[in-house]
Parts: sequence; C-alpha cells; structure tokens
Amino acid sequence: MRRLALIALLAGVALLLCGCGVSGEVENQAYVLVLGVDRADDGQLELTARVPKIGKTKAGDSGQSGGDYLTFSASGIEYPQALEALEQATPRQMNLSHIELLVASEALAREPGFASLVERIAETPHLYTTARFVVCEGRARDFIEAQETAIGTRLSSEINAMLEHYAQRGYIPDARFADAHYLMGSVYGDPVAILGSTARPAESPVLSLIGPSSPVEGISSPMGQRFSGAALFREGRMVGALDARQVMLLNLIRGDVRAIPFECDGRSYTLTREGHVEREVHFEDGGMTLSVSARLATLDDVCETDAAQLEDDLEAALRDVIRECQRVGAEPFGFAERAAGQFATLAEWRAFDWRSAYADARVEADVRVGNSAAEMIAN
Amino acid sequence: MTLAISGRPARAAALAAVAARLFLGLVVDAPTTQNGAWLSALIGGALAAPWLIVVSKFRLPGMVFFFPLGLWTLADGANVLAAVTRSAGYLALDRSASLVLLVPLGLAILWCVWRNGDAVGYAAMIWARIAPALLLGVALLQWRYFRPEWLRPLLGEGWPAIIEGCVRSAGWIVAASAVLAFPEDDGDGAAILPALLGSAIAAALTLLQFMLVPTQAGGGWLNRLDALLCNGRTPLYLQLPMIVLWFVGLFHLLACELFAASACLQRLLPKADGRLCALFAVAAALMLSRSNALPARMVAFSGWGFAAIGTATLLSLLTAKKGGGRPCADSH
Repeated sequence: MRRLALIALLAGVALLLCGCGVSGEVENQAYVLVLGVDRADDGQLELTARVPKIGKTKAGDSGQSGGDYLTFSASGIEYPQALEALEQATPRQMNLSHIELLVASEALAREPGFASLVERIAETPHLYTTARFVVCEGRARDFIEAQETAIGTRLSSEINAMLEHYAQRGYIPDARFADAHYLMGSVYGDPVAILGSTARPAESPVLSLIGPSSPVEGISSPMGQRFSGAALFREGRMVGALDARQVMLLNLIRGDVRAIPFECDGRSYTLTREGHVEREVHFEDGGMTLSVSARLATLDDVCETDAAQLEDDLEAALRDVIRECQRVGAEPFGFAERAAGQFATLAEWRAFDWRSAYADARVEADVRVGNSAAEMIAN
Repeated sequence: MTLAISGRPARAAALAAVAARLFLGLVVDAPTTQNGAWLSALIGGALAAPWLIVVSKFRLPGMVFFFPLGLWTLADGANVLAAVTRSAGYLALDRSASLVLLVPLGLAILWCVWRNGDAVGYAAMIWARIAPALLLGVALLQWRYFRPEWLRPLLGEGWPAIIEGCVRSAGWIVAASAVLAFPEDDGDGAAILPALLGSAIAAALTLLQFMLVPTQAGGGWLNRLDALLCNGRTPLYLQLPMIVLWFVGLFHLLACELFAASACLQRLLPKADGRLCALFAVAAALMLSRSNALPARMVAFSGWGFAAIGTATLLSLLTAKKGGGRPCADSH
C-alpha cells in the first residue's frame, strides 16, 4: 500500500516537473518553415513567414504548391517590432522551432548593421538556429513566394533534400544560420551563406555551371528558385559572391565535399579527395603565405600529360578563388584559425593585424592527381 | 535525523557535482578564460586539493568552519537553481511563472535530502554511469563537426584570466564537494580523487564544447546556453539527450549543494532535526534564486568564496590542534 502511494505521489510530482502552464496544441501553432528578412521601400524591416496549413488537403491537391502553404508579411521599425507585427498578422501562435530556411535579401545583407540584426534574430526565443542561411538576389518575400514543392509533397523535406543534394554536389556551401551568427562574432574567419535567386540561370550574373563549355542557358527546370553559389561576408556584412564553380573549390579546400566535377581541356573529370586538404599559413620575411595542398584521384582515364595539365589548371583555379576572396577581404577557408594557432593567447592574436596580412598574403597551391583506376589495377 | 553521507556515495556525489559545477561556471556562467578554461579547471582542482584533503580526513569543529561553508553552499545552490530556471525559460517554459517550475524542483530536492546523504550520493552514482553513455552518443553523432583548430590559442585570454578562472574554479569545487565534510561514523572515508577527477572531466568537457563553437567576442548567458544545447549543428533529435545531460547534471549538483547547506545548518544547530534544516535550506535557496543580481554576484565572489572558506578551514584546524575546541579526529 505504501509503495502504491509512493508511486502515485511520484507520478503526480512528475506531472508538475514539466512546468507547463499552457499546453501547445499542434492546430494552435503556425509552424514557420521559411523566414525572410527584407528592407522595405519605406526603410522598415519586413519579415515574411511561410507556414503550412494543417489538416486534409483536397483530393488531388497533395504535392501541389500554393494551396498547402500560406505566406505572411509584416513590417516594423526594427526587428522586435517587425516580429511583433508578424505575430499579429499570423492567426496562430507563431512557432519558429522548425524553421528550415532563413532568407535575407542581398541589399539588407550588404548593410553595415547586418551583423547586429543576425544577432537579434539568433536571440529570438525558440528559433531553430540550425536552419540553413540564404542570401537572395532581389526581395526575400518574392523569393519565398516562389517556393514550391516539385518532387516531394512537403515543403520542409523538399527544402532539406534539395539543399543537401546541392551541398553534396558542391554547388552551395552547407551554411547554417548559427554558423553565420557564431563566426560573425568570433575571432577567426568569416561566414558564408547560400546564394539564392528567383531569376532563371541565364538572367543571373552569379549563377554559372561547371565550366565554360556548359552554358547556363541549357538548363530547364520547373523550379521558381535557384540555389547556386555563395555570399561572402566580411565583418558581418556581405561583400561579394562566388559562383557555383568557385564554391565547389571553396568546399574542396574546406573539406566539405568528397568529390567535384572539373573541366580541363574540354574534358570533364570527377575528382575525389583522398584524405584531408591541407591548409597552412606560413609567416616569413614579414609576409604571410597561404598554402593549400590536395591529393585527388580520378576514375577517368588520364595519361601523365593530362594529369599534369589537370594539376596545373586545378592549382590555378584554387589560387584564383582564394585571391577573389582576398580581393573582397573575406576569409571563408579556415586560414585564420590556423594562423591563430601560432599565437599563445587571444590577446596576441587580436593585436596581430590579420585582415591586412591576409589581403597581402601570397597564395600557393599544390595538387596531385592520381588515377584511381590505374592504381586499383596495379594493386 | 542527522544528515550524513557514507564514503562511496559521497565520492560519487562529489565527482558528478564538481564536473557539472565547473562546466557550468567555465562555459556558461563566466567564460572569461575562453580556450584556457581547461587549464583553469585542472589548476583549480589542484588548488582545491589541500582543502579536500582536510575536509575528508578531519572532522572540523563548529561555527568557524560550518557557518561560512553553509552560506557558500546555500548561495551557490541558489545560483545553480537560477541557472536551471533560466535554462527552462530558454527551452520552452518562458510562458510559465518561474515559481511553477521552482516549487516542484524544490520539492524533489527536498525529498532527496530528506532521504539523507546516501540517497543523494547513490542517485549521483547511477547518474555517473548513465551520463557517459549519453555523452558518448552525443559526441559520436556530432563527431564530424568538432573543429580542433578552434581550441587555439590554447591559453585563451592568457595567464591572468586563467589564474582568475582557477581561483573561481576552486571556489566552485569547494561548494560542489562540500558533501565530503559530512561522513557517517562508520563510513569508509571519502577520498579526494573523485573530486579531482570531476575537475579533469570538466576540463575535457570544456574542450569538447570549444571545439563545437568558435571563440566568441561577446554574447550573453542565454547565447552561451544556446551554443551549448543547440549549437547550430544539432538536429532536433539530438537536443533531447543534450537537454537530459544538462538538466539532470544540474539536478544532482543542486542536490549535493543543498544537502551540504542543510548539513552545515544542522552542525550549527545540533538539536535541530535534519528534515527541518533541509526545509529551511531549500526554501532559502528558492528565495535567493529569484534575485536577478545573484548570478553576476556569485561570479564576482566565487574566487573570494574559496579564500574565505580556505581561511575558515585553516582557522578551524589550528583551533582544534591547539586544543581550543574538540580535537581533530580522523574520520576513519
């Protein structure tokens, strides 16, 4: 009897331990899947939320866009006011814990105060900061409204599957909002964001494919959005962009992709990373050298002459992408954290003028390409 | 009822509590050392070792020892309680009054302490076996996100900050391992090694955390908690084990500190029943934790706390040796 009473008491206490005053029914929530941030024409901050409808869809509607999702927008002088206005515009309790995509317009990302806006957004209670971070050309609201499900039936899984696919191919960086937030306030390098556009590939200056012989005009797709390339940040604001080809090389240097397609002398190769790509920073004669060293393998037939040409082209391409980032002053490669490791304390590291040293640094690239097929046969 | 704890559970309680307290202090409460936090935890352990030896080997007499120790454990317990409340507010409960959370938590702690020290200690022993498995699962699932480069510069903000951090750590170790000062007569003695192992575990945990999030220029308490529980790489399914690790770890720490505070009160008022002392200590901690100024004051005072408790311990030891009080008795 005493044991039963104890069990009943413990069960009662367990109910209290959750501390829930108000339960949150699913139907009473507006689960935001995509949150957009814009600078409106009147200078106010505009927030846009894409929310799924909960409940049955009409027969034959499943998988169709538009009918299953709603878009709400609201403006405010600053972020808290805009968020409050969005809460008013949304007819349910806005739930930000399942966000898949956080979109900022390019114009806003280029503003000097963008880092503090990112911080404010990251501090929003219950906002899922693991969401992917996108900077879009044009207005974020237009970009979000163009969002549609093409292959999948749910927008959340559609976004995830699509961006995972692009990130694995290397066309975009696997950029999370939290990473952007942490790196903007950190003592190391700079973050990147996925570059998005509603424009067709041929209309967009930052979108291109693997090589010059693969013209973007050749693409045909029912999707209203494009994700390709990366936005570069420096000191918390966007300063430039990389196209899909450059992002593949960036991902290769960072070790974020296993294989990349690469075009050389009119031929396409698939190059697979063997081990880590070494990134080093050397200090010498008052200057600094950034070096990248990669061992790659290809299953394609490649003779010695072709391999040498491939190595030269790839080294040149790696140097070019690093120089492009040096030119705009962004450091997304991870050289800064390696350089910081050569200092004893953070104070010494902060006292070192990393930005100037990085901008003037020499760049070295060393690539070795082996033929996997030949090696496999030899072994 | 006399509040006391036998050797084995005391060792387990000290291990779990020290690891949780140092991690809370060095990563979330006051990360002033940044990458150097692991050194602060290890040196803090070495600094607190003489105090741990004294309290585990001798029974120190009266007011001079138990009054400051009781105050310190009570204040630190209230600070941990405040951390639990803020964590709950961050996660999902910000629409509930903090009292709705605090009262059941206080009741749970009270029930633990009423079952006496062994209940607190054996609960920590079970936790010490479950936590590594949870931690291993979390670490393995996040393995590819660890960036060893972010641990450098290894000295973080430099030696002055590390020294400040290790004195603070020593203060936190004193509060978390105060259970060692209340051995049962027939206990098998409370060795100091587990408490020191707790500081080594905390050092390792800080290294893991700093490998997940780059060294930050700023950010507040909730920002750091966010970096701990949802660091931008954690999928939703992984957040549950991390939240369990965080809250259950803090619960055991809280139970240890409030048990020690209750036991100190009972040593000061020997005729008082242990249950009454526990009720008073838990109620006082609940009230103290509602002060907004407490966390910042506890960070500022943590180094001084160690100095004060160390001096009080030394004075008690000298008084007893000179025969001014009861002679020091080996607890074995």
